[in-house]
Amino acid sequence: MSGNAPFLVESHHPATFHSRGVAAPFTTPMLAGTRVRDSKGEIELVVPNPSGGRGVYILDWAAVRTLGHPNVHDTVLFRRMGSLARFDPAAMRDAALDVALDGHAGRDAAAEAKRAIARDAAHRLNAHFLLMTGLIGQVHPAGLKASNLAENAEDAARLGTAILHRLAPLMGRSPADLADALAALGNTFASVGVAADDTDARIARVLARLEEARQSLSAWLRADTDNDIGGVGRALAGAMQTAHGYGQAILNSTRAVPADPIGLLKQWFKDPEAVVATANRADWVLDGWEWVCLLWLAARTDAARRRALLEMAQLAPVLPGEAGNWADRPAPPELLRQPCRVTSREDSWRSGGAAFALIARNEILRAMST
Amino acid sequence: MATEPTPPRNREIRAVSRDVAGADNARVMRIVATVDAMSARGSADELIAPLRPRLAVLRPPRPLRFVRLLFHPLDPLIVPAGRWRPNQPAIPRTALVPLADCVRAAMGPEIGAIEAAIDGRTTADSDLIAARGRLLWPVAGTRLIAAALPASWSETGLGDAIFASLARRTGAVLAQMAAFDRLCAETVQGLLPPRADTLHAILREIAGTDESALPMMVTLLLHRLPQAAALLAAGQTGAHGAALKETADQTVDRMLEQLARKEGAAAEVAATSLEEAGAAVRRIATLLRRLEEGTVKPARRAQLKTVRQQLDAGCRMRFATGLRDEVLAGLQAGGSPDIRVLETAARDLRALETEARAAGGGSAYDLMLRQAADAVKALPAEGGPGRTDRIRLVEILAGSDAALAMLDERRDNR
Repeated sequence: MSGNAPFLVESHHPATFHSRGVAAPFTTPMLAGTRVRDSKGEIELVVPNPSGGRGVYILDWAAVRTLGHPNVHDTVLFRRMGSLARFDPAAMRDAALDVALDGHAGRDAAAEAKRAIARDAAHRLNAHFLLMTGLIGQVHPAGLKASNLAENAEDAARLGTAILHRLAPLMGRSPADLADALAALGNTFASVGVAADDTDARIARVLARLEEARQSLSAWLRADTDNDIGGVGRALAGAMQTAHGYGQAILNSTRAVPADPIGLLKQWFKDPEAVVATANRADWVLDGWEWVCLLWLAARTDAARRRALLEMAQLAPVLPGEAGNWADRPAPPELLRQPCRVTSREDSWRSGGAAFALIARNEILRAMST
Repeated sequence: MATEPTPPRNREIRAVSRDVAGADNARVMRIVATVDAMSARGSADELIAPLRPRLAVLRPPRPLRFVRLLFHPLDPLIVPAGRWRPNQPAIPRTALVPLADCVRAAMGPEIGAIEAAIDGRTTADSDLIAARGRLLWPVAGTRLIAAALPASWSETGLGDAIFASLARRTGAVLAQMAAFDRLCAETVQGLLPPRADTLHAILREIAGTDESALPMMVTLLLHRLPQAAALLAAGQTGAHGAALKETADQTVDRMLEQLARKEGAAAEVAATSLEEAGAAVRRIATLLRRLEEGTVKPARRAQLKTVRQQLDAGCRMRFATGLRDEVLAGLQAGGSPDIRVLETAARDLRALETEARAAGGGSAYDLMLRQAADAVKALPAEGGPGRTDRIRLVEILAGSDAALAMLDERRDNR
């Protein structure tokens, strides 16, 4: 932590996701790409070198205020972070949705936050239901199929209760413990999706957006070779493709876990933190990519796309070394380093008069976020 | 582009024109749409001549016709015929259609494909203009250089002797517009420096075709890439080097002279839409800054000072009218104003003000912004914008500290 005097940490290669921090959806242009992490109970902000050059600033909020003049949205979001029980992408997203719902990112973002919160609730319910039907299928294979259960919620509830009562003594837990655990697991796996082909779960939608942006960028680069700026576009498209492939692989392996609800319940009672960590892996891997994609997808003209490329290059996430150690799915080495770097002699493009339009643009991106 | 209208010739048109000039914005847009929809516009063009200054502010998307596509990159050079002089680096508006006729005649059936591609599209489609234009401009420019006097030239009232030199100069510049457009695109709206070798190659090509076309190109360059002003004379050697240096110097003098006039920088900013005012001020301010670099002769230093004063006056005027008409009027109208429109206008104002401070007026802007923020704070709690909306407006107008104080006010009062 730096105190109030910003200093540049020239070499920043975080070893773990925790030390990399969580991407914070600040809308102040000077705080683009900022990540936030917990440091012995204090919130620490990792702010990319504004010039786009190597290194980051590690700051506390007081120092951030002198460096970037955060707007009210960002200040309220930062205050909200203080009450987070944990620092991970999902918790950050929830906090950001709350702040947006209050209108601090504008009316469009507020309306979209309301929709997103309702959608999350539906996904949690769906994940819980699918875990329950999966459990019924495991314990009572000849029982009703999930599709039939979906048509008759009362039957499903009755059958589910009976199954929990049958399982409880075998697992040394009460039926209520099992019911609570299933609900908690539904919440934990909602963003991943319990069904193998769930395209509506949040992580699946982020991946779809990543692929959409990559395809759009690649097509644009193919349409006119002059569109690229010194190979930045091609480097980004390559990084997007790799990130998508890796993210999809992580998503698939994560979805294999709830396919065995009994095993999952046992693991949950043994080590819930480990289950949460497994469920959150895809979120961590993709953390920061959606904003990069939205920068591209929101750019409607060639001029805006060229400009977006320069911003995207500064924000493309780099995986920490920890991802390379994930035993079942080592990270591609190219995701462990920045795909390209764009440096600028000055930051007038996102300060001064230009900042006002960028804040408005960032609020549009907030409204577009999944 | 100079926007002072030329008086209509026909008496009836003049009478209608007077009515049109007083129309409100919605009516202006309807009139322009009606005229744009005409297959043969004829005198109707004169009808909208008095509206051109307002069109510069309203900027309605216009149907993308062949003539508009053809001369799109030369827009800063186009002036009303009444204000055009043969030695100016400019093109009289009345010459556009006859010059386009020359290109049509020379290109023949190729025109059909271009017209089909732009059919139903508007001037807002910048990608299409760039894509089609970059194919059209070099060919059209080459054709114009050697064009014969078209029959429609008589309608310009300019005299036949003028045609050949104007067509050649226009053609020489137009032929380089694809390369110039790419050069501008590569700078990513000024974020990256322009490539000096590309710029010098463009200038050499034009000088090789017709040295008298160089002032037009320099004018365009100073409009679209003011940050490249210093590159104009730098590194220029060979046969055209000296001519280019002299041309650049004269063109800069002429441009500064225009900007220093009453209808120069001040009028240009005042006639720009609020949305684009900040960018317009930045462009002029960048030009002035670049021209101030290095050794500057005393006469030019005085010119620059005058332009800066004009710019300051124009900015203050535009800011004051924008604040009054587009923010305060919306707040004071009562009921529930469209908060998105208000926020956009407030942001555009701040963008203008931030750029304008380079020319002066800091304390005046501070005062006006503080008063506007106070007006937002004083809005009744019921019936108008909600509390968060008001905090956001105060933040845009007066900064995050003022807005945070407002946000925390309620917390402190709890």
